[in-house]
Amino acid sequence: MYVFSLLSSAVIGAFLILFGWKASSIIGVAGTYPIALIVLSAVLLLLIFVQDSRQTRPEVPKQIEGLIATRGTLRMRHLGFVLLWAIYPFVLQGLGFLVSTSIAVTLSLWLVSRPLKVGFVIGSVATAIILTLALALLMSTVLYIPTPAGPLDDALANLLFSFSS
Amino acid sequence: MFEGLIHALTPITLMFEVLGVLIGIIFGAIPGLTATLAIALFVPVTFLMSPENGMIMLSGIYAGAIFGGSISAILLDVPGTPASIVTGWEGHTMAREGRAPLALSLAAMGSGVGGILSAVAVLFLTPALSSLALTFGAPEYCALLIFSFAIVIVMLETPLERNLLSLFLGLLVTCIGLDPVNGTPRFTFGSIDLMSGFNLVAVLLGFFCMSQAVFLGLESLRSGEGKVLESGKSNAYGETFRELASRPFTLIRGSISGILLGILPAIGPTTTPFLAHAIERRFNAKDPKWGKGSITGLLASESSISANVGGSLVPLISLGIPGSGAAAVFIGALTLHGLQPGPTLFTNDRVLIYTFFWGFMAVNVFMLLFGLFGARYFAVVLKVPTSVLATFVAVFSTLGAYAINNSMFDVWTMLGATAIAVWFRAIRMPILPIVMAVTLGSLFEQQLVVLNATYNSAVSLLVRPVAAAFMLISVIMVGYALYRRLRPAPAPQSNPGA
Repeated sequence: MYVFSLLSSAVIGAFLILFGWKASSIIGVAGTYPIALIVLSAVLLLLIFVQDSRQTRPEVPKQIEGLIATRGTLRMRHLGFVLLWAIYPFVLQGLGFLVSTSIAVTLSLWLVSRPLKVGFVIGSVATAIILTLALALLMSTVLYIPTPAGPLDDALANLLFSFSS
Repeated sequence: MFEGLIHALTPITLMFEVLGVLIGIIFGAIPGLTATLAIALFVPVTFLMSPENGMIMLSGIYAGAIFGGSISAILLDVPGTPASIVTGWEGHTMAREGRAPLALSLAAMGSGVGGILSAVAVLFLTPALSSLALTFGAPEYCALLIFSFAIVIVMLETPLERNLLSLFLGLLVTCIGLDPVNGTPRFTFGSIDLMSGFNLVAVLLGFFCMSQAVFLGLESLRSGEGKVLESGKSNAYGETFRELASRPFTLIRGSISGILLGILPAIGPTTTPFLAHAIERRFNAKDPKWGKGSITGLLASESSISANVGGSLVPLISLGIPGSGAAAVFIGALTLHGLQPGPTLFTNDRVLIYTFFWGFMAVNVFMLLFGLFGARYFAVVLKVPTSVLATFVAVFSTLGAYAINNSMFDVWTMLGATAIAVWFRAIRMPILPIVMAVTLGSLFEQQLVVLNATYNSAVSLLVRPVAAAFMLISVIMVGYALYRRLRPAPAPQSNPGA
């Protein structure tokens, strides 16, 4: 964590340098306020960097301690869970809400549930499909919130329209 | 006035009051679906109704959504709306202690009482309160915003320099986009999406919802399958009333803070609970559970949020100035119904406006009843396995971010904010000052520019007593926090019995 803290300060410093460089090219008063903020932030960051460099064993928050302590398969599954939800928006755009959410919910339940029994694995697929369908209906008919549409979503919308007309 | 009361209590109006509150609670409880979004989506639905019923239903949605946000904040530590962050600190700790129904009932009562008191203020004090709002100029705004920042910096347990750096970084992030005065693009790196900056709700979804899903997923893997928390005693009415009766002044103080901040344009419900919570702390300095399951803190936060909703209606109705984002959408709804917000509303549509005021009071009574008697049913959420909760918080965070503008850019913003939230937690950098900065940063810069253009020297600001008082209190607070940090720690006392 010691190295991580110092590296983090360096990343924030790089962010300030980048913004400082951009702010210097802003013409007029629009640049004064951000430059003042960058200077103040840089001074504080330097102070924190000096403090962190003296503290070789920094205190680690409880939740982060849990994150570090998780090893082996559990760590891989958690990483899979995080990656899944990072990739989900890409799939959502391509496949639409119904298909991508059903897949994502199923995989997510498999990844973070323990112990993983056969009944649960099969049941989670059905649960994911039913809940996604219910959510899609709630979003489109009660809350009027649009979701990214794929072929199945279009089919559902047409079906609902034919019922209403 | 009494004709309005009779209209507000007709069966059809009562039905719209109930419907509005229910829709609002559903919206508010889902992370990312804010009160503003709910009102905007239901404005077209009100075209089919009479103007007063339409307005009452929208006010029900507004009040219900603000309360609904507290339900997920208490049960899952996932604020449904940005206003419920403080409620989550106190309420979720209570839920973890097995007192979820009590926390929910108290939140409902606090919210209901705050809403009813604000309705009384709206009903009787609208003209007087509007003139107070008009006395606030750039110096007062700047001083009030500095005071808000100072409160957050001082109240956090993390070192002062980290809190300040976090605040400045947040203020710097709000500079991204077009400059508020000249429209000069700043830090946009050629991206059109960045021209309007980052959406506040998307950022908050990342900070508080998606990051929570990451930790819920971890918790599920580490602890195995099972319940998250014990839901506790399902019938907590007696205890709720006892706790409430012992804290009448907390409710009154929270409500007054909420109403006064509500009438100030642009100080929406997100900022209010932080200030009300900090003010209440001064009266409860010895509460050992403050910030970690304090009933007083929960009541102060909840009453102030609901009172803010009522307060924001004061300048909206009497002056046509919105007190929050949701109130701005409300103005649009009034205009679409052929009503012109402003002083003429009281002369031209007197019955309509008083029907709306009484209807708003009834809405708060329904919200209180739903919250109080529905607490045991809401607490069922705690019986859902953590893996399912983690999954659905992730789904709602993504959909909530997408629903803001139907744009994937907000989803990427939310994911970026999630990464920053986890990273900052690891390096002990507080998130809350960034939240305050992102919420109030644009307004702060705008007011600074106006202040700079209007006043030539700092001395001339002394003629504005409200601004001077806020500044003085801010300086004293930060100075005292600095003094406490720098003074040498007292030597440990020797134990005579040892």
